[in-house]
Amino acid sequence: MSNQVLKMSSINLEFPGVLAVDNANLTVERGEIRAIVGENGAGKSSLMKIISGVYPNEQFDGKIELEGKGVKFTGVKDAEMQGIMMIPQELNLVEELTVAENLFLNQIPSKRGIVNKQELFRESEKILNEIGVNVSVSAKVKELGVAQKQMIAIGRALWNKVKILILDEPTSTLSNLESEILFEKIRMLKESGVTCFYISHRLEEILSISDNVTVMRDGKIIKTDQTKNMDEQKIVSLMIGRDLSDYFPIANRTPKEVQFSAHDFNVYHKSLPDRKIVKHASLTVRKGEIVGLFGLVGAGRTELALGMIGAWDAPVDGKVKINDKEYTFENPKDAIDHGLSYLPEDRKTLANIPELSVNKNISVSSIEKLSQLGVINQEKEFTNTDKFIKDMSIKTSSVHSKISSLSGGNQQKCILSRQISVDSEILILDEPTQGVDVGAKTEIYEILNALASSGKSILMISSDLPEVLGLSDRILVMHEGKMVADLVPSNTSRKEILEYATLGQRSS
Amino acid sequence: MTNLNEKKSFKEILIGRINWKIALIVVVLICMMGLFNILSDGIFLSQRNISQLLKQSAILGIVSSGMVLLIVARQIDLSAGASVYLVSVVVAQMTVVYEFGLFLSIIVALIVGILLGAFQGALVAKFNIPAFIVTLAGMLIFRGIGYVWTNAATVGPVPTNVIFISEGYLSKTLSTLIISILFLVFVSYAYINAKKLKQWVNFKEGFWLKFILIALISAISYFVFLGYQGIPMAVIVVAIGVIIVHFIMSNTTFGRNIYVIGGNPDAARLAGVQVGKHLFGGFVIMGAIYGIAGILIAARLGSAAPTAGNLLELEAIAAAVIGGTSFSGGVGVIPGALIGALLLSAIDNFMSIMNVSSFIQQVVKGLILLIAVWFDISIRKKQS
Repeated sequence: MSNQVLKMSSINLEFPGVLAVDNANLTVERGEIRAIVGENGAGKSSLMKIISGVYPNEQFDGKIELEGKGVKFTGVKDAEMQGIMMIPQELNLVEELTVAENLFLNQIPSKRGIVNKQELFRESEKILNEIGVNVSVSAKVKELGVAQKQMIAIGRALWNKVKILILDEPTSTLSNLESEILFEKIRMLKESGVTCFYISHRLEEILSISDNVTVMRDGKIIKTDQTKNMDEQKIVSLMIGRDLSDYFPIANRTPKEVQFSAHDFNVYHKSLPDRKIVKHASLTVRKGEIVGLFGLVGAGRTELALGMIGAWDAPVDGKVKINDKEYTFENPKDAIDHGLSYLPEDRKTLANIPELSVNKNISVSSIEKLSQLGVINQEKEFTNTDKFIKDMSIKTSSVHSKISSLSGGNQQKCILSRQISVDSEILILDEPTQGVDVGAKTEIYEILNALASSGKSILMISSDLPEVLGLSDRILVMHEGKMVADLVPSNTSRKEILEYATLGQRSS
Repeated sequence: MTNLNEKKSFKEILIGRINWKIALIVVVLICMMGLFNILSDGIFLSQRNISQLLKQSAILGIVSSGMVLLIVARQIDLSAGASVYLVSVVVAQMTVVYEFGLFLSIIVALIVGILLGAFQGALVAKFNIPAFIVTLAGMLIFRGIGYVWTNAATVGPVPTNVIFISEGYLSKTLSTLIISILFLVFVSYAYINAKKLKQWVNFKEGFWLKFILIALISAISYFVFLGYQGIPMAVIVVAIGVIIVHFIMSNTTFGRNIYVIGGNPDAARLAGVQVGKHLFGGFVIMGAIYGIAGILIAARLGSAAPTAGNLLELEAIAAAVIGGTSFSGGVGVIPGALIGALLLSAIDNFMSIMNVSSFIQQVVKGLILLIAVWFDISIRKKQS
């Protein structure tokens, strides 16, 4: 047989309303470094999660063959046993345990339940030597740098006799030097016959390290080719091939004076106090304007938003200006009271109150307005909810239904209603159409257009390029914490925006 | 979409909207009481015994209400028993040693209770110390202060006007009047409210269901209290307190925000709810409850006894959980906890009648707690 390690045929993965992976076929060879690229939400992660058993066999359609034999993974553990391991962006190390314990998590050498420390340390030394990491086996993981942690995670994979290693954005938190060290290790692994999937947004890296590149878009595999036949321009144009759908309503509005601005705004890392996630960012939003804020995952857009509304739990340096008055908000309530509201990006963890009804979820932010002397006026509350259900055409069987029983799009419309009901002048929306089906997307676009036309200032953080282009009056692009571009949709292209987002500048 | 409700029959509403956990506990409670009554040759369900039982469960009932509030907000209070004891010491010292008047003593006791709650609330809300730790420390500190102050001796007896607050009875005429007035007030409030909201809440559910409950409780009250001496003062005091806490939880912005915070604290904060302020408020309310419960316990025992309030916090947590309060936060109602408290007290009461050792009482209570939680989890599994 050939050197083929993994073969995936006609893989389909469906989530309610979205086809995350659409008929994907893929083969990789032993010792190959395969880069997977695509926009946010193109299906890269979903595909990798299928390979690594995060989505067990019954959740998707299609066939996986490992070394010529059909396999059906029941879970991550099962995939690991068969030699496939994923190192996610958020490393799953136990910070409070030692390096040695982390290397052997789940399989600590022991006799009758008593840990054999000597063997544990000896084996760990061996692994560390093999990957060439110079740290003490008894150091706690939390004391290590990000790159070292990554190595520990890779070390764990090595010890498990990994055949296929999946790296998801491994360099997103690494410095250039650290990245170089990582690449060296990856090449070393390649020599020893390990196959690597390498997911990254950084095209230079991909071009320098991978053997082959697979480009994904809208859940489909668009093209797989040898890296030497590719260049940055080519990859970018393959990534964005999507047509601008005509579902963007034509907006007829002229933005007026500047209502909201931030100047030289900095946001610091939560655990690394001298690292900035947002670096000297400035922006303005005018009355009646939708400003799209584009960037790759990890560019610092959400952190900027949280910093501005006073919800960031680490130091923030900078002020926001609303109608020529400067503010530093203490908490989101403070921001709302001064006319600035925020729609969180991750609906499930940051917005829904799952046990409460549609009615109570919508009135969370405006409950004081619907009350007299601290007592809720239920009649007012229900009337308010009814209005939103009608205006936003929220599909629910009753105002009393739990929000968690609604579809993603309708949940999002409830959360949007919650934000709109406080009637703030400035709205920051973080991925307003994330996990929302196409129909509801169009409706949300219409709502945003109507809000802007009525004179609201809107800052829309979005990773969906067509959406940013179709809806914005102006487009800001962030790259590694910096604001790198301020563009006008009619005067730019998807290619230009994506270049700014991935490279931080226009490629000449 | 809302007029879908109109067509539902009463039976459907009953099936659709009843809180099954609580319904189940009620059924268990009724069966148990029937069984107890048979086993105790009719003593258990005598008017005198029910009156006693309600009096005995009063303190647990009000502490459980506060516990529901805190658990719904993802907090906990392990200091409740010790705090209640310390307040009872304050009452006894004021009235017995310093010979202050009744009114002043009550005010001071309430203030002390509120301060104990506020102290713990500030540590939780301002300094982000987990409530488990804060109230564990509170448990040790408050009981310790009480012991130091009294040399761990019983302080008493308190004057009869203090004892009256728990052990006294309203005259039968006054009792009749109060029950009748409360019946009318609650029924008309429910009616007006249901009329206003009938567009959104089915009238049968919004009014008739409540009407039946109010009528049932009133009827039982007439039967029990007029059959034996009138309404016990402890029951009156606790009823007022519990009604206020229930109103706070279900009708005020504060209560709503407690459910929002418990349901998803991150979402609450981003949506503009001031989490710290509300947690502090929750502990202050619990503090006021220490005040009321401390006065009642001093009045009931006639003194401040060093064992007063022992295990009270754990029984209150048990009552809340039996009544459907979820430890993952955001879920729980006051009436549920009251039924839980009644159930636990009923076991105590019955076993005392039957002369069963109090050690076995603890075993039985523990088992009931486990069964209740097990039911809760299995029902949840079935729903999802």
